[in-house]
Amino acid sequence: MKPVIEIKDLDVFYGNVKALSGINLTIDEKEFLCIAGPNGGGKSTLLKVILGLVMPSYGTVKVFGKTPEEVRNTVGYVPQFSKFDKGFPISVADVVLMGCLSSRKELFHRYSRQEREKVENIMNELGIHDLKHRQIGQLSGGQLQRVLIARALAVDPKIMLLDEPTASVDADSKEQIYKILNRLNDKMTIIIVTHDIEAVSPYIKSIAYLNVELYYHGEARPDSNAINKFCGYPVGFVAHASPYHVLNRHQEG
Amino acid sequence: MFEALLKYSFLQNALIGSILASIACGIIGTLIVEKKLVMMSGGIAHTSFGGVGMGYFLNIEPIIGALIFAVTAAAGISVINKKSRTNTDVLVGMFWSVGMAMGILFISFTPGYPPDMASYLFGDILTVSHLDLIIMLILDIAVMIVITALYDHFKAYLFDEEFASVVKIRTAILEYLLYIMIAFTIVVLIRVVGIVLVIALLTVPPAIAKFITYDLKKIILSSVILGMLFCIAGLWISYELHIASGASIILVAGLTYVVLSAVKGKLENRIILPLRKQL
Ligand SMILES: Nc1ncnc2c1ncn2[C@@H]1O[C@H](COP(=O)(O)OP(=O)(O)OP(=O)(O)O)[C@@H](O)[C@H]1O
Ligand SMILES: [Mg+2]
Repeated sequence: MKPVIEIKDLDVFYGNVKALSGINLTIDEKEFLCIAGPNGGGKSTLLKVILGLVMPSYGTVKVFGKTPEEVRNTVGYVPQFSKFDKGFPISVADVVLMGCLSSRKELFHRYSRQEREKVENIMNELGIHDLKHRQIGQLSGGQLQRVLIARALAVDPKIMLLDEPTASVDADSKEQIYKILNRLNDKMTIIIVTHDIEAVSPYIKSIAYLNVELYYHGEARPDSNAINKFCGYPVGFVAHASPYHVLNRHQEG
Repeated sequence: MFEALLKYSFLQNALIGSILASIACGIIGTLIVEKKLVMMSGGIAHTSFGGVGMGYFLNIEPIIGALIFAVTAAAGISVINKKSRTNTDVLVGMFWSVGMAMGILFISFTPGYPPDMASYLFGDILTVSHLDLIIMLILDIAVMIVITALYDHFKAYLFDEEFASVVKIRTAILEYLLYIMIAFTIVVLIRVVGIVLVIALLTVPPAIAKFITYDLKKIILSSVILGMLFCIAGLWISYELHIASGASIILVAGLTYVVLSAVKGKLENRIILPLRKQL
């Protein structure tokens, strides 16, 4: 398997705050990786570094062998917190269409018919087709989340980065979203940040525990009880408790 | 007024000026409202007062001086904000007052009788010259070309800058373009409503347009039309009652907004909803 993302000796500082330290992580093609860890563990930061939205303070990040900026339009991103104004005059369909924008044709750009059809299909798949004429502020939290996933899919990404995409979604929809991701996984690499490891564990192929340092990266073990322990506890505790993890961590580096 | 309009070329100029100004005003007004750049636009407008003063001091057309200052302020605020991490708000405040101070300094150094600044501060559309109209036309065309050429990109940038950069849109360039267009538009509007009053003319039409539609393109178009109505109505009042055009235009706009928002609830079902469907 080819590595799609290679992270070497990565440190990230926000001013004096150390968000990530000594991260070595290689992610293979068609991986379905779950990133877990406590609040402030640097999960969102790691995704932003892969997107080129946050610069490494030290170390390198390569996506498809290139810098993150160069390959941005092959990556779909669902942010944890959307910074946009909910009152902005834009419809759901137009938000999803945004995913089709890339700087290839800039002047007098208009969305093509294929792009519009693609977006229709994606909206159907995510069950938001009925909402397509709604203004973006007139959605529930879970509906908005699906719209953002749809927008990321409209990019035709080779890698999907999802930052807690199911945080405000009901149990049924969660299942549905994970199933969709599972299906998409045939075509693309998926990295998902979530605290909801139990629900996602049937679908993922590997898991990473992040608390400033990367404590574990490897197979997602079916034993979800053990996995559950990680969340909320300092991850270091678990790493010490289980030599298996420590071993894996060394292999990774 | 119609007879007078045929007779006096200054009235014809004023009417053409109102229409030209409303085009840039409707487009850029919508963008600054959606991107929350209203205060920055106020800052750019006031900074351009320095340029008016410089124009008088160097004996060049004051509006050219205003254009130079407005563009410098727009670019300056954007560049300094990126480099120094000083809050945009703070920078706007500084440019705002320093620009005004420079204007006053230039005018005190200008030899001879001090020029009348009131028409730049409060606008006087009845004194719009041929040169002003030509400048307005050129700036209008520039703004329209940029917006149509980059409409989808601007919409994405206005809505969600982070995602726009994730899909490789060069947001920095769009930002500079937008800031420079704001500067252009403000200069166009200075002749009509003046430095002090410009903000209301930029913000009231989109605010009203948002009563009836959620579509960015329609908000822009309605704002252009509303701007024209306000300017022409204000011009007419100003001519008939002999009051300053800037004040009458802004009062018409402000009053319209107040009345509409007061009756909005009552009209919602009968007029606005059917209208929204038609649009
Ligand atoms: N823009 C920022 N400026 C300064 N510090 C930041 C910034 N963003 C994050 N941090 C800090 O970096 C660290 C990692 O933050 P990050 O958002 O990556 O955590 P996270 O794992 O995503 O947490 P959560 O589970 O709460 O989403 C935290 O200590 C946070 O305070
Ligand atoms: Mg986070």
